[in-house]
Amino acid sequence: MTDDFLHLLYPSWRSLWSRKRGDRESGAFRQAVIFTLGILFWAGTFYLCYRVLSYFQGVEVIGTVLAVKLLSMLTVVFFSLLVFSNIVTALSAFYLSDELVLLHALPVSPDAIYLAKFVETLIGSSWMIVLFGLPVFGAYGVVYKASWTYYGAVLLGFVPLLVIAAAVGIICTMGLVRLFPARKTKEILLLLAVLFLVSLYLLFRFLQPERLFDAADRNRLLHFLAAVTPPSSAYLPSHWFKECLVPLLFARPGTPLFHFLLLASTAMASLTIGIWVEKRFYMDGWMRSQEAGETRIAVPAWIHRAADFLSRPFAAQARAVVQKDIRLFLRDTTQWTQLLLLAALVVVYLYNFRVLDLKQVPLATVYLQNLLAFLNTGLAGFVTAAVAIRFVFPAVSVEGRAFWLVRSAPISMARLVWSKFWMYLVPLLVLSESLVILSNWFLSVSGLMMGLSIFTMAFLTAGIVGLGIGLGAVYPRFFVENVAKIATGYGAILYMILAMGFVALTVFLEAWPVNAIFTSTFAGIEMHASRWALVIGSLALTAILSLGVCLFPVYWGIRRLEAREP
Amino acid sequence: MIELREVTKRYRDLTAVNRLSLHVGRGEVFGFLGPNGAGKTTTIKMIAGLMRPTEGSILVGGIDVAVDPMRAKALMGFIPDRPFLYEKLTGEELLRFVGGLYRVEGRRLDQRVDELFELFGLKDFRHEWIEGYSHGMRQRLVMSAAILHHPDVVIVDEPMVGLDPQGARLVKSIFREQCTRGKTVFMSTHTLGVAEEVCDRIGIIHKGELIALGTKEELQQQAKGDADRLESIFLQLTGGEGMTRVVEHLKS
Repeated sequence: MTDDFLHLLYPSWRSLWSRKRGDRESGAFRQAVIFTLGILFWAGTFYLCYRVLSYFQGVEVIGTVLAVKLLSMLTVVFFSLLVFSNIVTALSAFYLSDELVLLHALPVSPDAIYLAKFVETLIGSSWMIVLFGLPVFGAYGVVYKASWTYYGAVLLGFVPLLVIAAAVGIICTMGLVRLFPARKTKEILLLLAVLFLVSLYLLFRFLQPERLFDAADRNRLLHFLAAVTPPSSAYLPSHWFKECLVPLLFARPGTPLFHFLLLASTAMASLTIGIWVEKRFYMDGWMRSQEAGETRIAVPAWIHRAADFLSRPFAAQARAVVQKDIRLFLRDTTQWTQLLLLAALVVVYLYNFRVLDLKQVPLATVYLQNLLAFLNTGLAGFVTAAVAIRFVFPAVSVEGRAFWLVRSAPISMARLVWSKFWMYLVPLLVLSESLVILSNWFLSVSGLMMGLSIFTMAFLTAGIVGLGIGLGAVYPRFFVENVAKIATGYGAILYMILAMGFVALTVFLEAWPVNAIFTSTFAGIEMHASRWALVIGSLALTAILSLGVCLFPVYWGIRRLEAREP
Repeated sequence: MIELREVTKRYRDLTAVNRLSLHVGRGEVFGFLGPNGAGKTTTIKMIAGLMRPTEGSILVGGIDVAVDPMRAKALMGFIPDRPFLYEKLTGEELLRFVGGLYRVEGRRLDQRVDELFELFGLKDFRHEWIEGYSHGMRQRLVMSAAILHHPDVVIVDEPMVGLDPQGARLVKSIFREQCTRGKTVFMSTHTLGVAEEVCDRIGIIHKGELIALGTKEELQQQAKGDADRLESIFLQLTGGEGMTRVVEHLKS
């Protein structure tokens, strides 16, 4: 069985190796960008943890208690994330992967397949969580000046923790597939996860946590945190992992070796239980997964009719593309979950302005209102960019493997790309303008500021959409099965950086004219003609920048698609 | 109707198609044969405007595909070897989408869609999502899409893959019927029986070069005359006699 197991892992290793080699060949710039972003994220995580822990360290009496509580919470969160990630990955690895048909037809024992898939699931679902968990544990070590034994314990303890999380995740998956067909389980899980996140996010926001950070209440908060019991139990592997580290970190008495052995023995037991569950349930579940289709969401016919009506202004070819894209969008369940997240984001965004109490701030309220409204334009720009990366950037990639149909038809790539541009510009413009108009209304800003925000937002949105459609065409991912994954590639990262840079630059360009207008308005001084000329010049520059950011990537994308060969 | 002039396609060090010249006339069904990796699909994709030749030119209906691809594509209908489609559209929505791309609209499109669903036996599935279609049904749907706008030229890559006997018969008769209407069919296939039965002329490509061209009888002469079936002619011309020996050995 060991030979079979190792042999079954061979394709995964080879694919990984080939992909790495492909990455090396795909250009140093791309690699440098990804590497730099990774390092920045690592450094950012480390710095944040370092600051928080240093602050805790400075708090008398309860400082260490706080650090231990935080560690306890972190390990629980890590373990939960790992289990959930394993459930999702195991669904693909054990039930939905195309290679399974071939594997099950081979004269290989199911146990060997189970173990190979176990390793695949474990690595696939854990590497990122571990990678970004390391700076957190590193920060603990640095702040509390831990010895090398601590770092060794982190690395050694992680191994059984990962094995347990993978085994628990896989067993949960097998149980879920007993209840629902695999394809439906995937969608149910995704929807549940998103609903959970959205509710948590909304709940947290509506509790108005900013009140806790009132200076008078800060002490109370720390004591509250120290008194609160994290959702941990002595029977949870995350607790054993924490107990391996605490004595080595804080020079407290403890039994790290005992807890490590608990972890290690449970890991081995969970593997054995996993094999037992596999023998009882796996094949039956896999066979059933071959039979069931994906869930269909019945979109009411009037939505399609409305979409068809809205696409009427387009010429025949563009209309065909727009109508097809709207139908595909409405029928894709992954897009629905993303829409839920978007809705939560918008609600919280507007709620923030609704609860903003400017009267408490000892500054001229009118000035502050307008300053906030100006900054809000930039913030709404960031939100629009975040939405665009999910929906606009994948617009070309969603053609998928059926792209040949468009390529062989007498429709130019320019018409295809521009059709998509207009299709996404309209809803995004509605969204972004609604954000600024409503939030400005909550802030009761002046008419001039409202006008300026609407003007800026229109150009920002055009730039963001053009950049998204264009870069999406330059870096299309036609072979990605899940639409949500399109927004995680190199092109998407580059898009996000450029879009953020564009929004920041626009805010920077408008800062001076806005300041000039409002300073003179509030001081009651007439602005000189030369200053007006500069103000108009700055605004014109903003418009030109937006048009450039919109047009250049679109044309680049069109050229790249035209030159692309299947 | 289709003219290839000294067409070459190179991928870095590999020459997939080498100085290929060919003329296919109006109302002709042309079979393009060759072993795996011979350059058939590359040639077909170049004719369909999905790839550009490294050298040479391709004319469809007198229009250079590289110079005026939109006009050239409007004359063609393309059927690929693997029918990837938009899984979450219904069959009817797909045909309406294709109609829009070829500017077939209104009542003309309604009529044509009804006609094609009837002809290809997909009437009962027109409102089903394509993800529920079998491979053969997809192939039929792709064929419907390819001839929806009454193209002058139909380019087909492996038309028989995944088709049941009824489907295969239907496709053969459709190709012949296209030909009687003065349309041109250019198809690559491995199914030599189909080529033998349907094609007016056959071209054999091997290692990127056209090694034989003509009617079945002309090919027979080129293959030194001792083979009577297209399969034997094909194996002789492409150096596949070794394969024949293997088959004989297995039989013994």
